[in-house]
Amino acid sequence: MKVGNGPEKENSEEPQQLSPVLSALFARRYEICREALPGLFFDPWSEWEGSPTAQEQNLVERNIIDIDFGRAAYLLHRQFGPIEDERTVELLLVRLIKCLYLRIADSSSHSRLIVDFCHDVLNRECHLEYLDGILDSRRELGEEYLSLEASQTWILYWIAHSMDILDHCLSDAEALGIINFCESCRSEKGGFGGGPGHRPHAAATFAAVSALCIAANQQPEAYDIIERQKFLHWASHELKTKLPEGSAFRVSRDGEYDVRATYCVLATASLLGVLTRDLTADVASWISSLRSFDGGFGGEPSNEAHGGYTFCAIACLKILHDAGYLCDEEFEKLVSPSRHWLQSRQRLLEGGFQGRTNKLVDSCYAFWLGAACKIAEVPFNAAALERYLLRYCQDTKNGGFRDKPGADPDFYHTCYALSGLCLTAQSQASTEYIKTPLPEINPVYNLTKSTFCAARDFFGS
Amino acid sequence: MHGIRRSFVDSTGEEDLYEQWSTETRQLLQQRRALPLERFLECSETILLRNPEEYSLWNRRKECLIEWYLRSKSLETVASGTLVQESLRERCETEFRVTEGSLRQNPKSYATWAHRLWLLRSAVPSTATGPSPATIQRGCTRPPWTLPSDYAVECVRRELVLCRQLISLDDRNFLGWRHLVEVLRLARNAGLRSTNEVATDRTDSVDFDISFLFRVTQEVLNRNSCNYTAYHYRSVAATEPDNKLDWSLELDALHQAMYTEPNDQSVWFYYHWLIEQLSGSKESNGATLRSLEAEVQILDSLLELEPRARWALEAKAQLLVYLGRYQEAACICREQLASIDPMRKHMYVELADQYSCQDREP
Repeated sequence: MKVGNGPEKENSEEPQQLSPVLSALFARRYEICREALPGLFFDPWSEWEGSPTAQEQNLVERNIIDIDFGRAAYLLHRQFGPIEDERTVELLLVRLIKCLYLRIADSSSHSRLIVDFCHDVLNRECHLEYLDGILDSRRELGEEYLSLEASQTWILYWIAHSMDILDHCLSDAEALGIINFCESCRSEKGGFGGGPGHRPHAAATFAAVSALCIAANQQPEAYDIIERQKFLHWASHELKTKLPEGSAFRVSRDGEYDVRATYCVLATASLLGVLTRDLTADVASWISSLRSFDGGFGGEPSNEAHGGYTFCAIACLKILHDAGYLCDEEFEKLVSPSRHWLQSRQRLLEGGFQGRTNKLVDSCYAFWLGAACKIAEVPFNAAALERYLLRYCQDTKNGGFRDKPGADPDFYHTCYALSGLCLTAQSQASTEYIKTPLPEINPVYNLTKSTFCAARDFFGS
Repeated sequence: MHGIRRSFVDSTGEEDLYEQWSTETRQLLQQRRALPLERFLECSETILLRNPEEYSLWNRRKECLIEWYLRSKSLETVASGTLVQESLRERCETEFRVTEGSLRQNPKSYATWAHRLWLLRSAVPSTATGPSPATIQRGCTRPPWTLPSDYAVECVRRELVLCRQLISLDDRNFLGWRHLVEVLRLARNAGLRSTNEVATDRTDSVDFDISFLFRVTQEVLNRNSCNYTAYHYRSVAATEPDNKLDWSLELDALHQAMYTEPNDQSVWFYYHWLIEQLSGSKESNGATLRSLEAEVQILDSLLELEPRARWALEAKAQLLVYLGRYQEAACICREQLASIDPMRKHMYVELADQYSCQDREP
């Protein structure tokens, strides 16, 4: 059987022929893995037998093991050439797998091999190339972005924030691209729409304001595009909604209300220094009604607990707390029931987070849940998360990050995978493997610390 | 916020098609207030069926309908009254048709579900908290009209059948589930009653109350006992007023699920919650204690067959805590759980310490 040339050259010329021994082991890879990691396969593959999700989960697990075994086979072949003794190779494979998944230190004669196997590099250049050309309109978006026509300010933010994380200073043209586009989305009433001509929308506004803050690092007049009093007026009068459980916000006049909209309004108001008492009144009590039976937060009362919405709820509570609208005890009381739920969201085989119980991992939850854990002070396995993102989700051929192995990369997942990586870099206990240097991000707003501080300085709090 | 992958038919002239669609959308957005009402409704339908995320177009549709309605009412005479009602029905049907078409393509579009719910809220008479003209101007959460009750019943019925169908296609789609719950609550607020004469079989019959939610969750669980969303909605149904949940039947069903799927999280999270509800109030009377002890025995039998069933062990520890047997609970965490699930060892050690501390409290 043939195997690719290893992760660095995925599209290279000639797949190498495996020796019979390696081929035999490759054929038994799932079995070998299960035996090597009984603790990780705690949730056996037959867990959701028969359900469609079970089959997809099975596929994800197999993809991951294929990637790891493929890489191991390549490295072994490169180092030793054809090996006769199957048992020796199997032992070596098992040791490699254990080092990778369990991060066991191994000071043996094979330490070079182990480092090569376990070491994952963030390939900055390929991602920058992937992100290049959109902000300054040298490249057109592909047709798969047609459905995001009403969310174009998000595309600006996903790209600009990714570049910020990768330490790329925006060019003048890129910063102006952001400024001009956001200006064309700005509404007379306050706020920004998702695209030119759209009525203002809470989520689109948050994305636009965030993108403008990043552009302001290069062109400070980006801040001037934002009319914060108009925003406050629009949010207070058109979006704020009184409900039986308290107050929440809609995404737009006549639009739906949920914790996503509530987060976007509070975060924007806080960034712009207009988080008034009136704006925040009764919001905390509405958020507490979002708690589901297992302690997580849903998007609306009665909704199932979900990673994205749990982030929004916890981030809102943090904003309210930091602005003095919630005391320490109140914050703790509202956040602590969700800790158990948060702790159960990381899948230890894949390393990534799932958004809900019995659903698949997705790289975007590296931020939504990673940040929620950070804010709620819940520990997570940073090494495993880093493995999921860099090893299985990074697309070094095309650039960008994907949802999970088998999917194509896109700007959304690139942004949140990179954000998740920043969180792992911040929280990781040291391992002997090389760390990926990344900037610190503010987990509540998902902006780099320097961008956030600059905005705070400009707008005041 | 996921970029939804659209599948386009591979053909030449593809790029021109995207260009065209993009231009069409932009033009309609720009002209939406200038266009006559009917023209806008016609044009936006095509675009929304293709891309239901165009929220500004849904909102303009609402404005057009409100505009039409207010104008018709102001011109209404005794004679023309029924005509307005008929036209209203026709217009609502169009909205239902367009939203349904969009949902079948993209069942996760917030704006589409919101538009449908906006329509359905008109099933509730607006006399109680009637919107004033000022509210209508600013944009309200429901149409200014109220549906005649027989039509309302029809709409609610159709809605419940649609939700149930979409849920059977994707049983984790929380927007569909949420919609179902909202519609049931609307029906209750409007005092509507279902008429099942039209139902040809069981799958067609609906109840306009919380028992329907129990029924749908049961159907989903019968197909797939690992459906977490279904358990979640059982917990929601169980806390609605006038639910008639039989707690002991519920526990029995869970016991069965535990044996068939001892490693499925959903069963255990729901079980944890049920036990919490049952042992609920701070007084633990004799009957409660006896049932908790019975539960421990059931778990022990399961653990004999599956000694490494982590969730069962966690549940047993929780039950022991309710029974005041803190040291035993701590022991399970520290010794058994920490060794079965070493990656989460720190979590179990912390739990064990917590339980030990409770033991020392007066």
